[in-house]
Amino acid sequence: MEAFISSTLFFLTNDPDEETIQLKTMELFAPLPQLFTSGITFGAIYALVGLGFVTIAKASQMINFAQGEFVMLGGMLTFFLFKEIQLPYLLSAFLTIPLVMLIGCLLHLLVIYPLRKASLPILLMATLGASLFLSSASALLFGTLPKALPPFINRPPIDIGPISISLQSLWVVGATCLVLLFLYLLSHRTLLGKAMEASSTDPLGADLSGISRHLMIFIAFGVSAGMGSLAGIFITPIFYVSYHSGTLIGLKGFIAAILGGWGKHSGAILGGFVLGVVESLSVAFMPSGYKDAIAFVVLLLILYLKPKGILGSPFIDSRRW
Amino acid sequence: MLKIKKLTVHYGPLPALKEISLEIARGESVALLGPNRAGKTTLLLTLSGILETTEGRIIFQEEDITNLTPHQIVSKGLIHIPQGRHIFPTLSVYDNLQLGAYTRKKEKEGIKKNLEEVFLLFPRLMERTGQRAGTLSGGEQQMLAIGRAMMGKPKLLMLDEPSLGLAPRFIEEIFACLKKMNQKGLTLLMVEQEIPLTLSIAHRGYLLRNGRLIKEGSSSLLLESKEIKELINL
Repeated sequence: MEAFISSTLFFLTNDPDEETIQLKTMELFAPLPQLFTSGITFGAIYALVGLGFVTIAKASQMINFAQGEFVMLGGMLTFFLFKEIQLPYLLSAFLTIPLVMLIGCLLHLLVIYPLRKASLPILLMATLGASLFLSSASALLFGTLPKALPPFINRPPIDIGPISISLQSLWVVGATCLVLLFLYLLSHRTLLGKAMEASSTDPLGADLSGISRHLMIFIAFGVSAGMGSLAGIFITPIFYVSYHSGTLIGLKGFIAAILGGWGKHSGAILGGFVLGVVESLSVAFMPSGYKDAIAFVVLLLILYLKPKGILGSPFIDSRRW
Repeated sequence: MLKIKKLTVHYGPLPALKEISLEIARGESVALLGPNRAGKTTLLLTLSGILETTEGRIIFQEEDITNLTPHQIVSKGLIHIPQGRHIFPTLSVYDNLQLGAYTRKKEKEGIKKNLEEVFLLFPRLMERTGQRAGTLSGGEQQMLAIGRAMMGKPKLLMLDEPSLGLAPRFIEEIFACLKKMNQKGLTLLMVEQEIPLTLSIAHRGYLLRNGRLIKEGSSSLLLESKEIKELINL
């Protein structure tokens, strides 16, 4: 970025046709504040999804690739309850959360628990399979057409100088803060949260201390499904939801969690915002079709250069790299 | 207190324990000795429900506990301190101790009293309550592992090589503690390589080799036996 600016400045001082260049750079930089703001909204979503990954990783060191489907189901079920069954909007949203949590718990009972003696790669494939199952099932049940929900409060966006912020974005950021607070209290203030962390960092020690590890993972699946559904409910008014939208958002959340430091709540939050902003700003310099590729380039770079993530991961042993 | 009847355990297709029968009475301190790979650790892991039994019964306090889950066994008062301590490195000393009492987390008063007892036994842990357990020294970690097990109110405590990797003065300190705990009525089952030291605080011992019990007897008798002498000189 810095190099880019200095090279532009170099051109500015040397080129005889100063004014046109200046206009061009103005054009280039003008959308940046707006892109930055929308990057923050994206970032909040990625952070929310990333937190879902971290919650399960904290209880079992497992990667749940069905996390994105919880987001999809959050939007899908709210749409179904609201438009098809015609419940009030707020009630549909509130009903969706326990429903998706139930699906998360069932996922553990039907897929993860029977495989409790299998190794991690097998569990990983099982969650991938569950993810495909959930998205295909929702295509069959709810149809393949994308669905959109109305915003929570129908007001025009707020304008601050050149930036316009939609109210829904504020809701999304607010929801992320709320979930973060909840997770902080769960993992630092309750014995249950500590037992969950214990069963992840030392499974044998947890077993021998009388902590039922399977119960901890079961609870983690419920909690992270709830968080995923919350993300789905909050973003569907901004983006549409369709049966396959869980895959990409799940992967982006996963990248966010890795980027910030795998297994840390603060890491997922930071990683989410960094990823959201980088992705969004890239639109100014690159064709917007490359936007999704940027996330994966970021993932590769972090894995090459700093595999423990920005804040350092408690689960990844640096000596191995 | 603990009765094992013809216990057989397999690791995959390989038998690790063959028809083991032993008995431990209340208040006893029993040593389980044997060369490496004799099956000592396997026996403890089976007793605490981590490994499944192929055949045989485990009776603890007149109750059949064969193939119960680990947390069910812990809540009955049969607690195992594994080899390598397995404390929770990312959590504080205080949290580690609290998690030791996880199966009886509703007895707030009992836990508080228990915590005081542990601090009385290991004053060093009290100085470090807020510290992350992973930053403790080896000896302190072993104290924490014992303290955590004590928080679960054990009736029978199983220890797997508590002296492993510790400085001599820590080993002495820990064995003095174990002796004190045994005198207060706690039943002990110890797996150890420090044979003379272990037999000095144990009433009886069993010798295990290739998954079979080959000898049993009082500590003084075992110390004189040919097999144990061989084992010590190994």
